[in-house]
Amino acid sequence: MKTEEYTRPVLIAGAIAGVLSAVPLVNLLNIICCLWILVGGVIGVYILKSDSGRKIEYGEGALIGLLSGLVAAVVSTVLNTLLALAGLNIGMMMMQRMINRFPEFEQFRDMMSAARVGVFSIITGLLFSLVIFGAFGALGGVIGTAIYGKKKETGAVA
Amino acid sequence: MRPLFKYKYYVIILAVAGFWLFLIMLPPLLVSLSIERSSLFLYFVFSPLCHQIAERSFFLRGYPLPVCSRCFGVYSGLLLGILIFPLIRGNKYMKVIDRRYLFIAAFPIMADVILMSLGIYPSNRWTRFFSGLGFGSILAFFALPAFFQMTFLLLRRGGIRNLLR
Repeated sequence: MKTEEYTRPVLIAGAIAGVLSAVPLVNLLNIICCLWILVGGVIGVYILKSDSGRKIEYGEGALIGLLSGLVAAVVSTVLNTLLALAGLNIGMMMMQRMINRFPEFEQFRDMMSAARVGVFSIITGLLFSLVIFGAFGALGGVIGTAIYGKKKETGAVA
Repeated sequence: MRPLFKYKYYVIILAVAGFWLFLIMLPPLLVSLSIERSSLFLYFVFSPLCHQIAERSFFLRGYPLPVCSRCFGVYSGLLLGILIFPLIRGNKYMKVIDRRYLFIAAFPIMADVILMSLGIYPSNRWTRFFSGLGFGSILAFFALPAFFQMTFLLLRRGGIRNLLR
């Protein structure tokens, strides 16, 4: 296992997943179990397999997916912050949707201020994204290894 | 592999999966107990992960879960799969089953989505839940060994920071 092989797949897959998770309308597909993050994990495994030409074990695929998810979290947080500063605050829209769905939450409209762009919301959003995107990215890496990996596994870890 | 290694990390991932399911069931419980602010926050946290359409979600104490029945099925299946893994795989913690099973397990979800989209049959919460449950259960037999392999990989390399040097 050569760790320098990981840089390209992780960065490319993470960037793709992060951008798709931030672009308005396109990012809506993430409501299907973080689809773009899963796809990012799959892409990362595919690129690693193409670059290295060797068999990828599930643990390695999960690791690639995890790292891609972390990169995607940073990329999407940066892009979402820029979009929010440009007047397109996805977080506030989601909070608005929650409050509109449940009459019980009407009294908490003040919580929408928490979704406004600020240091607190950026850091909180980044932390949540790192955890969620990392976990789903790892799952995506596992699925990617099942698709692009070898048929039978020996259980050995390179 | 030392026995403590697999038990320690097995308990960790089991606890994480159980906690995730607990978090999913928490928001409707909090609303029913009039702890609305925390409940709203949790619904908000889950909103990027699921469409949260109430008609496609299970209800708990009169309020919908923050994820749909299919997502709930997948997460429940993951927990179930992790629970029964030692009974079925024994000591083969690092070995993944044949990938055919994952593709077979994905078939009910795909069929449910396609048949419902074509209007051939009306999908309901339970068909979505059980199709997700099946997939999640099988996914656990891939995710758990992958997690062990990944952890072993990182421990051998001295952590993620050393991995990237």
